[in-house]
Amino acid sequence: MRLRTLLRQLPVQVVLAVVALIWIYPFIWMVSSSFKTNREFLSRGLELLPEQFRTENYVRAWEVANFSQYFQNSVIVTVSTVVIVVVISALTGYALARVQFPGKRPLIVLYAATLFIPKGYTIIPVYQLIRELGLLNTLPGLILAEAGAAPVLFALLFMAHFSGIPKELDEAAELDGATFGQTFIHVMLPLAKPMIATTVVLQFMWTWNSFFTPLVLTLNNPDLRTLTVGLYAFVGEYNTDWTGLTAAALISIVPVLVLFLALQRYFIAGLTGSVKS
Amino acid sequence: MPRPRLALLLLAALAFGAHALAQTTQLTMWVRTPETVDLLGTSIERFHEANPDVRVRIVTFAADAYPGALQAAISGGDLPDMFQVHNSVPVPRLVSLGLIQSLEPHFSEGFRDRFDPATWWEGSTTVGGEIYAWPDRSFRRASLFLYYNRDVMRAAGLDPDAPPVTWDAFVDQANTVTEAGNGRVYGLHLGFTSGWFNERVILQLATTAADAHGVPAEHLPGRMVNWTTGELFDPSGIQEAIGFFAELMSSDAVHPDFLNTGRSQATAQWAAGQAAFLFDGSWRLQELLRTEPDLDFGIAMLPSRDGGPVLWGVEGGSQNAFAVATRSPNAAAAARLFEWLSDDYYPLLIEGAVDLTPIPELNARDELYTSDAFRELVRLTELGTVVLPSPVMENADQLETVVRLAGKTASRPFGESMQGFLADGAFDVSGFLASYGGQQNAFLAEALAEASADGAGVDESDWVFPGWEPTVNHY
Amino acid sequence: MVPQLILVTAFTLYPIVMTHVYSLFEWPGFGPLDRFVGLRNYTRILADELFWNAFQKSFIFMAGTVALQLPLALLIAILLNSERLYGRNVYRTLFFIPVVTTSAVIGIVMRSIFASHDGLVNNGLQLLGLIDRPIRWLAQGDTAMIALILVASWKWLGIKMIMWLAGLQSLPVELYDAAKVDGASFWQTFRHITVPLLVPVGVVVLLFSMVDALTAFDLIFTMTEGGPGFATEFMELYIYRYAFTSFAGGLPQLGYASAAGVFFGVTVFLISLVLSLLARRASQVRR
Repeated sequence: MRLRTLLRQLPVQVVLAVVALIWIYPFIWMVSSSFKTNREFLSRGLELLPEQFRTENYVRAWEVANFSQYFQNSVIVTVSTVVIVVVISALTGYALARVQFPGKRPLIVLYAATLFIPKGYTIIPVYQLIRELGLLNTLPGLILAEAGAAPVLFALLFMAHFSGIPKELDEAAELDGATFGQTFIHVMLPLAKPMIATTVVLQFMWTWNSFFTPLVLTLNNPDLRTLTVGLYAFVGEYNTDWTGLTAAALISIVPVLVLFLALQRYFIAGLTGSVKS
Repeated sequence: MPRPRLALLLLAALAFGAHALAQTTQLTMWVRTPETVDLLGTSIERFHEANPDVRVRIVTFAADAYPGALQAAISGGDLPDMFQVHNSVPVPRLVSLGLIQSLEPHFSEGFRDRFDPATWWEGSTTVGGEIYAWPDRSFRRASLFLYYNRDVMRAAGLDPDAPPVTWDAFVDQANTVTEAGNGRVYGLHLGFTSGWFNERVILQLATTAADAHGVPAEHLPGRMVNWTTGELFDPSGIQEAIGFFAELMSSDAVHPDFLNTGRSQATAQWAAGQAAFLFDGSWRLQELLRTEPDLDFGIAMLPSRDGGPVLWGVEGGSQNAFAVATRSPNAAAAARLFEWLSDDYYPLLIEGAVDLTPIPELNARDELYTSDAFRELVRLTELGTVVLPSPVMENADQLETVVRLAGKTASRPFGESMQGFLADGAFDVSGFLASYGGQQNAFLAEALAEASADGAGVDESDWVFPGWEPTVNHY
Repeated sequence: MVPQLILVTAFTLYPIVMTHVYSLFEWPGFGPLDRFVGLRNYTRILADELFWNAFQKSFIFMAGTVALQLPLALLIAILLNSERLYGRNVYRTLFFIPVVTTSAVIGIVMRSIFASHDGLVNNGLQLLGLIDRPIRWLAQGDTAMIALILVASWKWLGIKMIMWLAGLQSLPVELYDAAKVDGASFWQTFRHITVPLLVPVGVVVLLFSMVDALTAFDLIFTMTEGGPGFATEFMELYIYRYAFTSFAGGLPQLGYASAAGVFFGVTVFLISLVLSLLARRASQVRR
């Protein structure tokens, strides 16, 4: 029985396997490069198998780039940012979906508009703000800036999600004597689990890969730099260490990949909820 | 009961720590030039041993991220004690904004006299005659050279010790290598991807082509003028230089990826035998010596049209000097560090084959040299760099003009345009050069007018040097 | 709600407002903000052919990546949606891997893969007999744009695939059963049930694709640096050139860069507003 299904799937399986292989070929190439020497990478770049598997690129990336310290910073900043963003955008999304107030529509449009303004160069106002708060060169300052720049998109997605949940649920909870907050925590949040997973993965990815904000907000305390900032030490005019770079990049990918695998089920369901409405 | 004892211990540690802190001066130093970070670190370690009361912490930056970091730090009043200046935030601006302080009161008697006099250059290291920035290397620097791979030349049947001197010879040899290489090896490689680098390549070749009276300066790259008349630079030289590339491209004698390969990768591909010749900066040498110890290569001047020396106009001062922020209370300690580095770190620059020092007596000390290639590079650098005339050195008020000039930039950057032209030729070079040069002249006129309106005693005459000879140092 | 408002106001709206302010000044990004020039930065932008070049290139890039990703991601999603397909979770993960890979590294790796000399793409095409001579992908304006579109689509397709998958799983099973009973073919079902029901998902996918295309700085900067010439100088690179570099030895011009950002942002927003209105109109007509 299983065999028959498999046989029937064979053409599709072959096509998918070939496409997927081509798809991740650059990635496989990266993995194999990370075990090569730089000279081998250049002269025999197209061969997938290295002459011998060398782990020294990983050792170098980890030590030279001070990765263990950076890794720790990245984890602290990213996890805190993700938590803040999830809580805040869920609350906002709920409020936008349920509470009527004057000027709501313009506010939503304004929110959406901010998505499209290029922001790569708006660091100076953020920097000045963090300085006024006395949080320059601290991890909380960095977390605040990362979390503050993000939640618009997710708030809108949460709003869409909550609008799709029938109002009767809230009303039933309120009849039972639950407050607004209690309803949110006990009724709404469990329903939004998939949406939360979506936010976690995407926000995790963005914060993890953020470069300029962490660099500028920790200018005078390089011990607080994050992994991505450290990674850029391998990119530049004087650098010929490509294999070190690939090793460093692979190290930095692992946490995001693990998170994706863990949350994949919710992730897909999460978007289901949000787009249905 | 271990608790109270632990607390006591902590208290003692805290008290001791506070005590130690009170005695130590902490200095932060921003460095954006990766080639000198290790040398500075080595020397600063030794400085710590000799000066236990001072602790210096180096913070490094990726070069691309530095201007943004500097802008943010200035806007937040958060500049570190010492930082490397960058031409996006020129020294005179820093001074007029009150952001950096004069080091003059802190240096010991006679300190400045040991340097090549052109090291102290108005608007770069000094303002109003006072030292504001300490140079991390000589101003005679960073011209482009021809690196040749002897193994590849041998394989193509060329004399490995006779690299081409003229453009014609270069094209011939490049074609020979390409033909012998059978689609695997090319004559020339270079990473022609960044605007500033492309501009240097073309201009440095162009100086040998037509009107040598337009040797361009790196501080005022837009000023492509004939310095003896103040008139527009003759663009025919630039066109000839482009023609030189076009000829190489037409016979596939230049690596097919030269328009889309970064400089460090181009170097590595050249070293791996994909090309016989490489055009790259003097700064590439130390990296080659470090990463390619077995490579048999030589260094020579870029080819010139007719075989004469390839000149490169420089200004004095320093492009990578270190300044001290006004907000730092530790200028005295910083000056002490700079004096230490002048004695202890400058020799490392030569030993590490990184660059020339601003102290001629050190550059002449043969025992410091550890590689013949670097000895040759220094010889060529001293031969090829000419100190340009400077309006600011003639008339200090011209600083106002220069500062205003920096705020005006041509709408089409030069280097990117050259790359675009070589890529698909769909581009009118002479039209571009005429409008580019015209814009530059208009900008100068505007800047002069603005400066005199603000009370500076300036006019055009300071920008013209009738008796100037391009082969002679002006100062 | 209140904390969110504060955060968004402080870290999203405030910087955007300041950008508008800067755009009215001649300002290098440091020192006092004291040279008010009114709308002069805007008139300069409108007169700069390289601004319009970047403007146009950004839209070509956006259109290219959207046109490539949307249908391709949908196709893959349909294949991977089947519950009986063996290894579908493995496939999903494989298609998602490029999404999480650091852009800067991808740019460098892709430079080698699209190289003219011994590049993987050229070798593959030659092996298949599709070309005789290597294509100089990144050394010519048009092909460099194509390469960038391919790479960017490849990198971000995983996210779109997941979104489509989510959309497909939200489709009501009853409708399909009914269609089957009526004897509808696969194509008819797809055409008359799947596509119309997926329009709202499509709008979300479209928005995400647009935002992705507008924030591809790292990838482009490491892969082509905007070249050759200005062929792939998108708006973000144009702004970067004015905001942070001292090209031609001059000062950065943050005021000018801000004006370019504001003008471009407003345009993109208006376009997406029109798009979403059209989409709403379409879904209302359907009802």
